[in-house]
Amino acid sequence: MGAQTSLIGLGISAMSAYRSALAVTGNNIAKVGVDGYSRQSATLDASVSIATNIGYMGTGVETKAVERSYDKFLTNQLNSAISGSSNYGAYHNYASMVDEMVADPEIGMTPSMVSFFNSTHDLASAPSSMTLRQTMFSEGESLVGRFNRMYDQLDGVRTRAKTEFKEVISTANGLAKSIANMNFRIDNASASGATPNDLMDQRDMLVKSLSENFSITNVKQGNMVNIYIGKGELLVGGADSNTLSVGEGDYKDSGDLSIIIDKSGNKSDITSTIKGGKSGGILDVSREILDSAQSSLGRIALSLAATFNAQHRDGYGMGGSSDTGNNFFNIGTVSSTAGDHAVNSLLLGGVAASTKNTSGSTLTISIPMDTGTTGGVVGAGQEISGLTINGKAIDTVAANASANAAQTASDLAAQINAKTAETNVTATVVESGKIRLTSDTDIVIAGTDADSGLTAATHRVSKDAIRNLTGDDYEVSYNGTDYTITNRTNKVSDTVTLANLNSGLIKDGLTIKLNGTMNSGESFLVSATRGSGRDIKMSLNSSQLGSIAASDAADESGNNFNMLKISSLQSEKLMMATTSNRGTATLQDGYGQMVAEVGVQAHYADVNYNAQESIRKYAQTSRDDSAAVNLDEEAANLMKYQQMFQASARLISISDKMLQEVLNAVR
Amino acid sequence: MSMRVATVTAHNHGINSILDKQAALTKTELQLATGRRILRPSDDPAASAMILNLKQSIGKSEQYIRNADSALTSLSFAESATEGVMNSLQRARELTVQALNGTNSAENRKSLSLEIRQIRDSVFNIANSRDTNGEYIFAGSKTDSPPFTVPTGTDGKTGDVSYNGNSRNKHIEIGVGQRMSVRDTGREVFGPESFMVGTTASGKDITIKTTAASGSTEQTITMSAGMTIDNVVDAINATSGDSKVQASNDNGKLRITTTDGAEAVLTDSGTAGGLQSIGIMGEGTTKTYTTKPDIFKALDSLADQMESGTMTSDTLLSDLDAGMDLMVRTEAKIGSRINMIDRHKEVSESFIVKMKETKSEVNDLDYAEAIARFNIDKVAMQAAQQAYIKLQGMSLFNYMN
Repeated sequence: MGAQTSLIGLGISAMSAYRSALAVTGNNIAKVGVDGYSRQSATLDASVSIATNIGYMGTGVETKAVERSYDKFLTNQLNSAISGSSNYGAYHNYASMVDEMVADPEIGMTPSMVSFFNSTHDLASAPSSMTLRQTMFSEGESLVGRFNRMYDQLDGVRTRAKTEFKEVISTANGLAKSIANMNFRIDNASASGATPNDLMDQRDMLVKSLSENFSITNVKQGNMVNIYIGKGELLVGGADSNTLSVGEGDYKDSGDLSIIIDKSGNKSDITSTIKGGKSGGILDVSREILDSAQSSLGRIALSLAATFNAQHRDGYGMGGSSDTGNNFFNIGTVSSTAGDHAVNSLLLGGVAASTKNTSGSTLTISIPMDTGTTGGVVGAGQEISGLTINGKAIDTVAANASANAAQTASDLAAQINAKTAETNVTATVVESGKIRLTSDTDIVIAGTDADSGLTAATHRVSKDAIRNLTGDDYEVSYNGTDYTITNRTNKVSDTVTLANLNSGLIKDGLTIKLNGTMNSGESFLVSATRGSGRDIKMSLNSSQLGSIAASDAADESGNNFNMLKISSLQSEKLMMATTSNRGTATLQDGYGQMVAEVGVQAHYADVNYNAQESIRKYAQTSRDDSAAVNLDEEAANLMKYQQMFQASARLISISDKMLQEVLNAVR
Repeated sequence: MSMRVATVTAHNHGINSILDKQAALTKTELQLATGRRILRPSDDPAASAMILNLKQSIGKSEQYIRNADSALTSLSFAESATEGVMNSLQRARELTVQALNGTNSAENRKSLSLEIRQIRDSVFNIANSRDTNGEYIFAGSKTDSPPFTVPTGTDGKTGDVSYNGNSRNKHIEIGVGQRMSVRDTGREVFGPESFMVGTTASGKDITIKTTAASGSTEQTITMSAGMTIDNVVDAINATSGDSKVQASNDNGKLRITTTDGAEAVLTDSGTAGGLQSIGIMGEGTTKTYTTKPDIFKALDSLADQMESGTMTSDTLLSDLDAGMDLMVRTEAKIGSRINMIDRHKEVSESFIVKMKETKSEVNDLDYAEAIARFNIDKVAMQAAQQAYIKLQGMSLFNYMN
């Protein structure tokens, strides 16, 4: 329509402009409930004036454009707040599940543990009672069942987390595809020069939804947006998108989750760079709560089973002198090396080889299974020299001037006991000529000649190992130059020798043994206690009640000395050694600590989630206050534009009246 | 520019504040329903761990009370057994005094011997008595077979009673690390008598010389610095096959007894320490212990002599008295143990009361505070609801027509 300076022309253009303004207002009112809708406004502008002989005459008003109220900063702020809040939301969600699980005082580990140890006390009061043996056996079964169930519950949470993780990644793939598609449509629709506001709102919504899955960076390029995740990995580039998939990391079946990006056939693992959103939250909660809770639970199960078994193996059941050396619990395979200083060790599961390994070498982990007594025979008149126990030289008896003096068992015992404070080893003469060394830490006998009867050997003790267990994960790797053991939790690395690894390296209580050599780039993951909550079972069965080893000697059915030692394990500080190798926690303390850790994590998850939710709400409010519809405002606009429309209509009627006046005048 | 609030924001604020108040109300309601302040570990992680520890402590103390009760039961068996033996021995003493009376005829003495034989049988039966679990209570830790037997091939009247039990008594834990012997071995109760010879040992060698029916032996026990009482016991027992001397650890003190009625001569052969330091004799001195026969032997000898019609031995009464001494000693031991167990039980009981108090301080809900909080939350929620409703009524559209 050509520019009109006439009154009717002005009226018509103004009516048209205000009609469109009313339509835009109506559209705003209609879409008040549409999530992510940005209110639009008609931009009214003066039409170009026309030069006349009396000067420029205005030609009225016209609708220049329909613009949406959009603030890039507020939108991006909202997206990043959503990433944060979904991150803590997912974390909080799984943390609460674990929190609830350990919460109930009636179903946690404590009552089972107390009942079990109480039953050992009861059996100690009447060691030959079959009823009490049955009770202890049943309490053992129920404790084992409690460990297994708790493990399963934690595993159930892990399975849910894994399932959600897969859903999150598949949702993200769908969203990435839709954004790419929307880029294409917006680009096409913009060809005419107009802005497709609704499509852009929809694309903003898709980007916002994508932010729920992980933190993203979006960069506008022409009419399109490019989306980057992690450390600048392109997820959406213009009208194309790359695909993400879920993997298991380097260690199959280890419970690790990974995200793999497929850039037209080029796959790479970007797990470590992914932050925020649900996927970041799930990755964090898996490591920080699920892995750690399962390992803590497993550490308690392993500590209980290993120390209990070690003591139980020392005792005798009711079946005579051969009814000894039995395990009460089953938590792995016990293997023995024969000899004077037989070392029984418990082979544990929990080793995962990297999928990159090619050499076929294997890694085994074990802990010792002995209570800490070893000894030898000191024959009358035998000469002893150069004996060291745990690195401390044992003096020859002062009365005997010669270093190679003949000593009796009692002489030697006294000399060993004089160093107890340094060696932590006590010696007793068990019978004439026989000496017994007792300790709850490893006993290393060295530097002595064979005559002494105390053969050079390392006698590993279960309690020593158990106290030093951490429940952390370790990575054993070879980079072509060095073999390294890295604690995955605190990231501390130690360089170790191949020879040491081959002969069995002792690391935080574990004996880590490599069979063979590794190729460069190979690695193993050691999660020694992760599965112990699942693996703990009863070793004795209900027909072997007589083999419960209450006695410390054969054929003494009223002997309860071994059972007394077993019951006292409850009060012993078996866990969490200090640097001076003393335990700091009982089994119950270990469980208490696990509960407190879960509690603290869940508490902070709660606090962080609430904080992040407020930030999100604030960001949402800021965006809404700027971009969403206010009905009162629209009502006011409705009235305003209606009045303007009415006024414009009056121009036409006045123009009509003026025409009538002219017509009447000439009639 | 005036501030602009989106319609949806106003709605969200209203709903969110109602939801928040509802969550607070639900939590308080759950606390009121359970009576617990801490519903989940995250509510108070440190206190949660503490509650678990308290639960274990309470459970353990309750077990100690049960252990104490079981110990008391064990001791009461032994107590009634020794009382029975004591009464029998008193009767035997009366009969002996009567038999020693010169006016008695040989026939009279013979008939008295029948009662002595009965007493010996009843003492023998008591010595082999069992508790409710079928355990022989005087057998040490070999509780599944009778501790006292007479050799097969005798008529059970004159054969020497032999002891098949051992010297290891059942212990029961009545407090953390507090183990108490709840039985006495047949040797300790029925003899032959043993001697408490000292406390700790260090220093030089001792020689144990015994004279038994089978002949004399001499064994040297090497004692050296740092030996514990158990080392000494083990060292002595290692030679007991020859020396006929048996040692045991009696609450940290060395106790020795001889078998086969042997006479033990302990000599401190060292120049320093040795048995001197374990409190029995001076340096280089010698001490002789003669063991009295066991109760059965004492009664058998009595009956034998009564049966023969003439009372010749002058040790009869003193042998019997030695047996009664053993009973008195056993009763005293049992009595003091019962006292100690009762004390420990009281300690455990008051400990439980304290633990429960602490647990309830940590975990129990302060109802007054919770109810006040519930009311405040309720008022706040009602206010939020009212505000929301009022806000919804305010729209410019209401005034348009």
